[in-house]
Amino acid sequence: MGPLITLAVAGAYSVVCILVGMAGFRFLGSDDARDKSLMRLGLGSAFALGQGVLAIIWMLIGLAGFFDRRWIVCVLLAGAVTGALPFVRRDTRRILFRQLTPKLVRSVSAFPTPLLPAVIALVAMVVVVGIFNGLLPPRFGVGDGFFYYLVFPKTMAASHRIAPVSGYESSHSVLGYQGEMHHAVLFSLAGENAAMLFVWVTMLGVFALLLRLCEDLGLRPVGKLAALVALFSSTAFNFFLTDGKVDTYALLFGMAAFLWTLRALDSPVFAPRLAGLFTGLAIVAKLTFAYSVAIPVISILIVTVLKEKDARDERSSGTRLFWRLAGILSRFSLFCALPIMTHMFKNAVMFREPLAPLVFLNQPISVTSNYSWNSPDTAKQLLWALPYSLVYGKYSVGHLSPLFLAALPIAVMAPKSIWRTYSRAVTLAIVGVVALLVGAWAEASFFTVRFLLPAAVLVLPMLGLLFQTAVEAWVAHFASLVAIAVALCTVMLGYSQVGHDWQRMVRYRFQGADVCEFDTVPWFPSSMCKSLISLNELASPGDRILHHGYSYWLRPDLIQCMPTRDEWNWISAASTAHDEWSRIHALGFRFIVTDRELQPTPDWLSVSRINLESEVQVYELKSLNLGLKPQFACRQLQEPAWDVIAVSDRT
Amino acid sequence: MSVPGREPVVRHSLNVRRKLTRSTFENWPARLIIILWLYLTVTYRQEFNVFAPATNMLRNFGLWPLAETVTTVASWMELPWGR
Repeated sequence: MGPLITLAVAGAYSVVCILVGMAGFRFLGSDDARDKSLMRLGLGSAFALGQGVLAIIWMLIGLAGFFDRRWIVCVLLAGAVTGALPFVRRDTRRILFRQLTPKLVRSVSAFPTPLLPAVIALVAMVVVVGIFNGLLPPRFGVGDGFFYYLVFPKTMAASHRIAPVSGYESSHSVLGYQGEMHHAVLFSLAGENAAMLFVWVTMLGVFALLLRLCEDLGLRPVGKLAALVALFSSTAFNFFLTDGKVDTYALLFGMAAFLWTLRALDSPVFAPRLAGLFTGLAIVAKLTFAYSVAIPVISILIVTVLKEKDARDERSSGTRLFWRLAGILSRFSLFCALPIMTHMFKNAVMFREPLAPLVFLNQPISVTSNYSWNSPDTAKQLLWALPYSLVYGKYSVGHLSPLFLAALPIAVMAPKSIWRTYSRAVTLAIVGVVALLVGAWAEASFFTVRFLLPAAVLVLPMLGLLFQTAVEAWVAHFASLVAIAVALCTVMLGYSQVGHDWQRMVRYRFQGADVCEFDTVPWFPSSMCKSLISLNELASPGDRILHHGYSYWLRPDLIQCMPTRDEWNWISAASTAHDEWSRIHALGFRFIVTDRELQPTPDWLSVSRINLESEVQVYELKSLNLGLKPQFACRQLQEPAWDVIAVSDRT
Repeated sequence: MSVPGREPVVRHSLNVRRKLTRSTFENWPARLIIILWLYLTVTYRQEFNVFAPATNMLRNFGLWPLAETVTTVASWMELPWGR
């Protein structure tokens, strides 16, 4: 039953996202009757808008402390009804069976026979990723899923409120909440696999938007296939489909922003509003997308309007053009600011830091303080190796697909006429390449390709177009087409995570491995998971554990009672070992999890080791002086949430 | 009967197609370069060493001489996947 419930909940939640998005479209208003058609708006855009709106609603409900199942279900039902009413009124069957299905059949039949295996391989791998996400525990060792992005929703679902993850109040917790909110809802309704399956659905949303972007630019099915394969085989994309991180959500908004930016001239009121809203959501979901989404979007808006001047007659004066551009940019900016304001509101309420993480008003923290891990020599080497360092190397967790490099000779040899015929795709590609190179130069000291992924996505239609040109020119050369199909299959097999996830499938589902038997990672003690899970059995509700870092495997109440950043600072400010133990005891900690040697303990404190693991030690603290009681404890003031409070001697 | 306004577009796309087929793009040297480069890029994996599983797969299928040839030639050429 478990997998079926996971599937049903994730599926229903995805449908509600689409319906809320449809309602959002009507609320934002469209200036063209065509825009009211679902086919024109696209399921991907509706899904993205619904996600963005729902995440903001969950955040507000979480801040108010009402994030329980009843409220969640009420909001989902209300959203579904609001979005479904006009949708049901319209002829659903007409959309699904008379428009979508024939379109799908036409697309498949348009592929040359030698390329069909690549289509089948892509579809099969996408389905398999969904099955893995629905059945397997999140993957360890790639992103920060177990570190933060799954810990936050786990505690939010258990506590019915938003609270910062202890120890990360000034770092991860001040970032925007988007994917985390959906994870929290799905944790609350069906558990972690529903959240992971929703990441897969979001991936499908990204694919739908990429297909729509390619279609708007005039690409045919072969070009769309190449673009999809290039995205699917980019490790900067596929690493984060299975590890519980939330990058895919941010990319969804970035893709939607690009799509609606290109429609700004056709729909000068509606499209800039949506482009702005999606850009703002992308920035909130991932701060670095302020560079790789917002700047390209603004550049494309300006270039598009200026190109319109060239295309029109000479009467279109500069002044008129200026006001037209100003109107589009102002609508864009206004709607871009809306999601950012909700993020500022959240940070103001939770931390009294509305400008975080860019500027901290009350704390001596800088946004750039943690962002430099490459030496100057390494940074120089990465810059010299561009564009190869975007595709290969060990300095970034995730890279672009090798197809980005593979298309270079096609670009050199392709007939010049395609540059003129597909000028919009060329504009996008130029903006994307410039953003990629400038971004790589700017972030060489903390080289992370996934921060620039939206800029790379702008190049995908051009990449697809180049492969499409090759396939169409070589249609009489069967062997060459087979060679391309085999290369596409090779890059998908070699760079997607399907092979790795299949090994996890064998381990967890067929060999009965427990949740802690994940891949060994050199920098992480493999016994940490087992130690924390054993603590779940030993610790009483609300016990405090002195532990820093990966805490996902702990019970939600224990996670909520972990030390805050201020407490860590207070403990580390102790002048002597005795003072440090006094502070640890005063704060009410009962257990210590550490991989380091302990300081000498005072006579009044018993510190006994309670686990047998070699790398990670778990100690239990007991005061031998009955008169010396902790000054703080973790209590349920507002059930079911846990809070650390000062206690008097009587309690 | 041609639709006014559509004809130039049709003619233009026909021109594009004609130019495509006439270009050097279709000749075998161009195809060879493009396909060789394509395979070099998609199989070159400095850290992930995609050829190691590929050659292991060849061995598993009983094609160990082919696997050995691939790794030997690759090591002569000092390519990373020859390791």
